[in-house]
Amino acid sequence: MKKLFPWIIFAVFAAYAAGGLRPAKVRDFDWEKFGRLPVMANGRFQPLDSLARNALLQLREKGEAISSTALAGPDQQRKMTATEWLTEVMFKPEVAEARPNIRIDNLELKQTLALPVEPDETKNTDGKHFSYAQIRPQFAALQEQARQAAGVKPELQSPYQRAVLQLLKQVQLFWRMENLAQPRVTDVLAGLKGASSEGAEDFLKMADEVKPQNAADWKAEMNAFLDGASAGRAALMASRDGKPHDEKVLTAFKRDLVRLEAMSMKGQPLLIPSADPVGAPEAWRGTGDALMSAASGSTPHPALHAYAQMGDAFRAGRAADFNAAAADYLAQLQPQFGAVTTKAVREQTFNRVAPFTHAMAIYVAVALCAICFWFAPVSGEWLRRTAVLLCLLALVIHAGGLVTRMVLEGRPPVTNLYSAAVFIGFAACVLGLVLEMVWRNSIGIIVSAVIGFITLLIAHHLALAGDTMEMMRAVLDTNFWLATHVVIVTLGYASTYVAGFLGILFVIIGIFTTRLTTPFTRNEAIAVTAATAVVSLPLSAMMAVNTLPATAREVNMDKAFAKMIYAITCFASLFSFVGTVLGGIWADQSWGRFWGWDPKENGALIIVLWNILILHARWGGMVRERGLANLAIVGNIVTTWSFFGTNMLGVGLHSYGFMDQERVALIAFVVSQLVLIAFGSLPLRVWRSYGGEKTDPPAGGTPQAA
Amino acid sequence: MKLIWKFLCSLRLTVVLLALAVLLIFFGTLAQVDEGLWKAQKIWFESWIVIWQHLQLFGGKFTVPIFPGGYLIGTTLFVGLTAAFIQRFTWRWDKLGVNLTHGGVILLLLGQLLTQELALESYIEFKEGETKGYAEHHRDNELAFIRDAGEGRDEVVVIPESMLRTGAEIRHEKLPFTVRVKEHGLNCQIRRRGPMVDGPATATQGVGMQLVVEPRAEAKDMDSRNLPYAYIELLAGGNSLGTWLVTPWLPMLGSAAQVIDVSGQKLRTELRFERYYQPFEMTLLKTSHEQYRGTDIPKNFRSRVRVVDGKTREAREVDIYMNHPLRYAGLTFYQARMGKDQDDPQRGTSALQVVRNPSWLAPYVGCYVVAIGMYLQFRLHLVKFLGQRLGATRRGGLGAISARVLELGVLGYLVFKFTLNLFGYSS
Repeated sequence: MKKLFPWIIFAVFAAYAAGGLRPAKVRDFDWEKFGRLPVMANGRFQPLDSLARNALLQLREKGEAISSTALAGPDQQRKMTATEWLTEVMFKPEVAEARPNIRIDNLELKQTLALPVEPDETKNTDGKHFSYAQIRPQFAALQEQARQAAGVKPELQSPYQRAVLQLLKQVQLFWRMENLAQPRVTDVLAGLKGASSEGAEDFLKMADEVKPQNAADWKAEMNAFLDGASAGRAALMASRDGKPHDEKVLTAFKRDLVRLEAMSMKGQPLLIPSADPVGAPEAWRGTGDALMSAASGSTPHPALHAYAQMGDAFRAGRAADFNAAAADYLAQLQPQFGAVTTKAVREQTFNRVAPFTHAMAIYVAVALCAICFWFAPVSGEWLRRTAVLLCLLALVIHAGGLVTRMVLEGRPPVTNLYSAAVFIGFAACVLGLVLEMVWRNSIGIIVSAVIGFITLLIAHHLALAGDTMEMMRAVLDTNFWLATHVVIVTLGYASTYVAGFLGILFVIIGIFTTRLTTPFTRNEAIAVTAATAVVSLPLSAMMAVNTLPATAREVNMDKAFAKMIYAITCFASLFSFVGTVLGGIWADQSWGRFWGWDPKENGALIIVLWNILILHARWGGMVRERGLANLAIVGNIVTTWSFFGTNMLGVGLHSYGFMDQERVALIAFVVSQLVLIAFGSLPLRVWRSYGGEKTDPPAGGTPQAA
Repeated sequence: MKLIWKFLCSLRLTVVLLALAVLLIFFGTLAQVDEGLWKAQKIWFESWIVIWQHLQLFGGKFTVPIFPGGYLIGTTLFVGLTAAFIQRFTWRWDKLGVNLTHGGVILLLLGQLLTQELALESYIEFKEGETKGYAEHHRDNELAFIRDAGEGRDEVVVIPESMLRTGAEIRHEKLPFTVRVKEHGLNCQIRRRGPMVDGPATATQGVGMQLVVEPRAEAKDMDSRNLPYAYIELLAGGNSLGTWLVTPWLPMLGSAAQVIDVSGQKLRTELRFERYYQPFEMTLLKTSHEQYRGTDIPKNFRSRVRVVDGKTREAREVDIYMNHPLRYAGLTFYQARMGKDQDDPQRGTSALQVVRNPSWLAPYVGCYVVAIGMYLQFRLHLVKFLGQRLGATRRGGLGAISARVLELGVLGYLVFKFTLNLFGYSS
């Protein structure tokens, strides 16, 4: 029976992961279909579903929306999918504006905006999520604060100022979503006026004159505009030439023009397909733009009517009509924009399957299996097998996500910090499984699970900044170098981390248990958990505990560790070296200098030198097991500094990912590693593995098994 | 002697030097935040000893050496590496990996040294429609005296800015006067003189009489350059001809070179960016800056230029854009910056980085050699280890065979693809 356990558990998790493949059932409105309509945003085609998810990630750090904060009652909180939320924002903005989907954490900012700071049932707030309607009355105050904050250099801004600027960006993002298909412009115009934008004076004057309104019945309004466009144009011409004209027609026309102009904000996603699918397939337009060009005589694009139709049906609650309109529009697009719609469907499926979220959950399960294994180390071999199977499952899902992203982007796996984190997790997981295959002592599996989990967690946080499939800036727009230099150097980073991680395990296990040299006892295992918890490294504790049960097969586990670290460091040296030199050659080809002492280049070089140093120190007999472990932990610091730290310096050509709050995290990480090294440098007599008369210190000779 | 040799060959020295190199690069990178990329590079990497200029102790100022510089560490590493290479070199198959790796690193270091010595960076900045037959240095300036030599040719005497120290007197056989530097500053701003506000002008001749110079601190970051100034007094036969203000601001703002009249003989003078004349001319035809639709993310920068070479009678048009430089006449032209003309916003401007680097191939070859060497070496370790660990039973297994096939496939593909790109047959 025990033989079957691993497979049963595996099957359960596989089913869990496969669950995402099936679309949700259509009850009334077919969100699935609406969500796959293509739009061009951030310079690339994507489904509305992605647009909605990315917007929500930026607004409230989650890929879905909530209907309210009430925990009970008729208005009780309900989760809304991203697409459902976006549909509402587009077509029923007055309802969407009342839903609390903007997250504000900064206390001072909440006070500035007179928002409730504490959760309060009676006021129906959780103190964290606010609706746009709550922020609107304070918008002028926000804008004033933002104006002051914008004058301060980013690295000197206070957390409050950063929060202010962030919220202003969120509000503008919300406006863009509201103005995708129909005008919701009064706030936009007020904002424009408050910002005293240069060059917009004439436009604002005209807006004051004609007083444009938000759309109320957009389908009718749009049709009226299109029908009256030629008369309006004639009136406008006549008034410019000082000839007699119908003042009423002119004002109405101007009012519409102002609305359309206000809809065409900077960075507005382009919803209306190109009128010339063959000659200029990428020339999509925003709704405002497309209508303005229709007003100047060209045929209005059918997509305009399609969206007006969907909006009308949605407002009236006619689900069948809404679904039919979306399906019709998709069918219309198919012949001309087949590739675009196919890509949109793929990306939507990718979003729904959420491979990285599933992989993360399974990595946790892998670790849990190992913990349980610890309680029954001898009879629990099946748990180790379960861990391996689950880890393979997680790896397959992780890799599937990676490959899908590559297909969607048409790019090699690493294009930005986000994808680098995902790729490092993948590579480390593979390396860990290889180690496990060779040693079968559960250390490799821990490496896979923990690094896989941590990197995906980091990636998740990096994704909050917006679209993770952003377009590549000019010099980076080359698949050849992304596929060679970037992938190889990232493999170098990943393997250096694996070696460093093994070093951490070595130190913790060596100090708190006798496992490095003798089989362990249960009391010692409990001690290690407690001790590592005290140094507040819960993850390390988890890892350490996981490795404890590693069967009694390997008596000289310190030797095994040393060999693993050595092997991984060889791998790391090769990849970091080749990757770094390839980077130099890329620089030579695009800037004319092989080496420019840019911080990122220096960081990569340090990793190479450090790995080579470890190898030479080992070859020269200057370090043994313990020294190797300590040097490998330094590798963690070196790699993290190169990966994140160099970007924070704000100098040089590679400072593309400016991050500020992460500085604290970086320092905390470095300190934690230094603490571990300090522990690793404690005299060997306090190491439980080498303590007492049982063994000789490893630095002096071969450690003896008791 | 033997002792020194042994010391140079020792692994311990290697490890110490590597550790020093890691620290040096780390500190040097941190210093870039305060000092700027270029200056930090000079102080830390392109020096024998890193010297701290401003140590204040007991009320006095000291200059103290604080760290071995990049040259010192690099040279010692290089010497040690070469010594060890000679000492340990043996022709054995199982040593091939080690030999290749270290040989390749020696090649890389040599290549970098050659680049340091031989490579020259300059740039051409021009507007659409403009033609230039020279490139300019991105940092250094020169004081030029230009005489019309007839037939549309100029005779030019240039004095590098490094000689223009306050108080210096400079003579040259081709110059009919002595140049006395009355004042020199590394960086400045200029503005028009307010007749009532500002005191008497230092310059007694030329446009400098209408201008005021405001000295500025030395520019530190990589993208901004110093714009120096000098007041030069010209002395002929013991008499002063007057004092001129010279600064690269003047040619930059489009004013013509100032004319000096020495007893009927007319010379033009300007302090300008150091020039490198080329045997061909280049005309900027068109600049284009593409962006991703609906965003302001740059997609590409492209300059179309016409190259006209009087010697080879070559005349052709080429596109220079991101990752696609032009290699011509031993020089390589890269797209560096792009902008709009200040006076005419419709007219595009473009800056091309121009690099002469005869040793550019060294890192390419070095990378191949080291990569193959490391690969062979680590593979050797791995095979030996796996043989011990897994025993002979697994050796001929399906896993081993498929691993070898995969290994050859991946490597072959990468090397093939890379080589194609290297020689310009990129897909």
